[in-house]
Amino acid sequence: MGTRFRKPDTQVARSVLLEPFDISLHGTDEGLRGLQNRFAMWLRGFNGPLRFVTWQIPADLSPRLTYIKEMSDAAAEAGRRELLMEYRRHYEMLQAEAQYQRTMCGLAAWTEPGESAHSLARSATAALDTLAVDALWPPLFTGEYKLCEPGGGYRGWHLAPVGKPAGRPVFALLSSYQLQPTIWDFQRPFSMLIGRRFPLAICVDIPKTWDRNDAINEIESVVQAYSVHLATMRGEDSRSIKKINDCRQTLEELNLGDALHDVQIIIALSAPDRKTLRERVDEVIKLVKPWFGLRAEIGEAQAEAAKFFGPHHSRAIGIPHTTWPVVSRELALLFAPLGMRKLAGLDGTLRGEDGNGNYPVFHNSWRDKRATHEVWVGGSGYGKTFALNCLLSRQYAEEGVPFTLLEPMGHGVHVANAFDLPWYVMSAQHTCLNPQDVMFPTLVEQKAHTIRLYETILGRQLSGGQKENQERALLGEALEILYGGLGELMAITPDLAPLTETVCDVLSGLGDKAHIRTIATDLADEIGGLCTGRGPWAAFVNGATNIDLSSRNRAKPQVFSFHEMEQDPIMLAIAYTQVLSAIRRDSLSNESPRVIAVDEVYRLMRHPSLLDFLIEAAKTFRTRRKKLVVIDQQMSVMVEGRARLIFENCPIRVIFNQRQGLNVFKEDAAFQHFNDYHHEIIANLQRFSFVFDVQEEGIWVLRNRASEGELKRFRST
Amino acid sequence: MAAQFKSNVRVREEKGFGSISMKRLIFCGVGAVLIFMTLRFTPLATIALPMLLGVFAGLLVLTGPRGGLPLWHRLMLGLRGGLVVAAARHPAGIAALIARALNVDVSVAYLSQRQIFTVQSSMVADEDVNEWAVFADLNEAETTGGLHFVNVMEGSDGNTL
Repeated sequence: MGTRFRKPDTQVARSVLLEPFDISLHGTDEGLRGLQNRFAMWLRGFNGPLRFVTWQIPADLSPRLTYIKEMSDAAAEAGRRELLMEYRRHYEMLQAEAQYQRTMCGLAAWTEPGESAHSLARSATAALDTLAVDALWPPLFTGEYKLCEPGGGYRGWHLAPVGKPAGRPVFALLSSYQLQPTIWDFQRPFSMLIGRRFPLAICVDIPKTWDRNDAINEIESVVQAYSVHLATMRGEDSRSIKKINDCRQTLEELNLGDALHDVQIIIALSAPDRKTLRERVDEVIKLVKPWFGLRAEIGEAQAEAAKFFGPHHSRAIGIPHTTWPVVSRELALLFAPLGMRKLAGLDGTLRGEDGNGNYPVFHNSWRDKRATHEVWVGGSGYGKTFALNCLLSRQYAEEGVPFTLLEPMGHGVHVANAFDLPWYVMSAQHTCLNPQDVMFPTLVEQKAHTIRLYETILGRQLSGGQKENQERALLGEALEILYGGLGELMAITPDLAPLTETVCDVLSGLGDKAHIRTIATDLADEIGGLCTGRGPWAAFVNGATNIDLSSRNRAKPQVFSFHEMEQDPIMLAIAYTQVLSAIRRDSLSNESPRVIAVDEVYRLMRHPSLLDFLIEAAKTFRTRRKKLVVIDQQMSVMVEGRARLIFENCPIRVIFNQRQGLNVFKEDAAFQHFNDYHHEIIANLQRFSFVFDVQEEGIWVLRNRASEGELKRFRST
Repeated sequence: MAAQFKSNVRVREEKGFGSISMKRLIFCGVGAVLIFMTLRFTPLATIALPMLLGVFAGLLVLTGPRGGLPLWHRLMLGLRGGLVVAAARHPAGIAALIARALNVDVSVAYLSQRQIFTVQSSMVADEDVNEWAVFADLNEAETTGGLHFVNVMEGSDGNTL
């Protein structure tokens, strides 16, 4: 059998981009140690060259402002135009207050030709706990540059743009030549570098990872040489003693499984002119001096060093390679810039400001063809409703996504007034919702839906026993007779739909055997007693629907409030279901995006038959680009029993203060990515602050900073 | 969460004299003695001793590290860089002639975004055809000389079209 030797030249560069995360969310010693171990474990597994690059560029909200202006120009409704102008003012205010930067991280590995960048991205996502996508790196500079000798206010070699600069900066590249024997952690020294308010790029180049045995032999030979040196030397040589100690510690770490890596740090600095470049170079060299020494590359090496920010193998880069050996646990700390999140993309909807107020966070949940549902939880008074109103307002104004809000407290009036919409109030006294309204395109589904509503009214399942099964069959037969007589199902409008009393009449006449007739009559009497004549729900369900659930206004937002019927859980559940059914029915006919927000969803989920409906509706909504936002006070409601099926369809979790229900986050498998510090954060979130957890994208701690207009409109919510 | 970084465990820097390592002292000493001995066999034997001291001091200065590089290396890089820039600026000048004579690549004086930051496969086609490499991307195979199967159309006379 032939042996296949890997030739260095047969390796191919694969690049991925990494989404920076917020390292402060691993804020405890234990959390950070866990992160370091995780990074180190991953790095041990590499045997080819690896490169990690962080780019930092100044950023502002200009693209967002331009987008808002374009939307404003295109908006047909005057109200929406006003809202857009208000948001534009809000963004201008944010921009005036802050100086933003944007960071981006990339990873390149030289692998066998058969290994794709996608597999590297998958491995990086799993190991680094952040989103990695196979993508090309952004260029360090654009256009043509030339190598320049010292002069013009800068005493070192540098790169300057060829021809007219047209805003292009000059660059200087600095390389590390010594890593100081001092304490490094995830903050120092990179947080200081990333904190600079000028553009820079940091490259951590790992040209070689040693074979463990070779590394041990190499270091043992150094120990041996120093031991001989010390044995023959008279007097003190503290550096040699330190070196032997360092070697022994390195050997110990290598024997514990770490790998030895050669590392060099390259920093690219840019400035609009040479004088500023000099100031920045001096500042950076001084800043990092306690941790590592930097030299400005000389001559050709200055030009060659730029190649570190591209897909060039270290061997092909002609600079003096002053690498430094580090073990995997040390190397893990050089990935610290990955944990320094700044302003990310401006695409999507403003979800809040990061906890420290450093940058706004936008998130686009409409990128996928499918909508991404959200689950929101949090104690009363922590700002869920207010945040929801803000989100709906922003999505409608800025993204043009209409919404349907179902809420039980009567706060919907503020939203209705803000957008000049009709406010649909479901009332036990004035509203009538006919259970026979057609909500499904097929007779089978429509029958199942209506039977579910009757089950809710009766407070029992029409299945599970012989009698119940017969009742279900009879009720279905009655409905089939009634719908059959009205022609095509979807053409049956609310004014034509059969009434509940008609269902009872038809039902009471069914059955070809005496005992079946008795069951039919008893069921008709039971339903009739509750829903017709003087029955408790007669006014509510026995009549033509008197609220507009048609699809005529589906391009506009809709607000349904249920506060006038909250004392009756059954009526409330039926009302929620009928409204959601109408939305579901309309969803099938188009794929235009819409947000459907259901506040206090527990009121719906506690009825088993309606829970099934909600589970099914969640799936339908998702495929039809309808985003479901389900809101309640406790996460435990969402993860227990069949409600979990809805929860698992919601990749976005918005968690307000949950001091009372923290155990769910500690025990449930869905929250295993939360560490102790996350739990502490969730237990101590202030009003209007929340954890924004997006599956496979990241976790943010945000504060809902509302615009002046939002405060004015929704303050009382 | 933190690590105490270590000194360079792969490099030997035994103590010599003051801040000068033993390795550097030995190198400078050996260099100076070689010069001294060579001069002793020449008519310049009278200045061999001052040269010994001079060369020793000179070598100490030239090997003095800064930024991780000895002075001679920094000087070389600077001279070479100057030559490259001058040759690039005046392609018909003396600097360009010298650069050509010394086989110095002048093109490094200009950097293009397209050349530096665009993915270029560093892969070289494997000469051993017994070893099969699987490519993730067809372009890579084509740009690096990989073999690929094609349909060949034949004309009526049997020749390949």
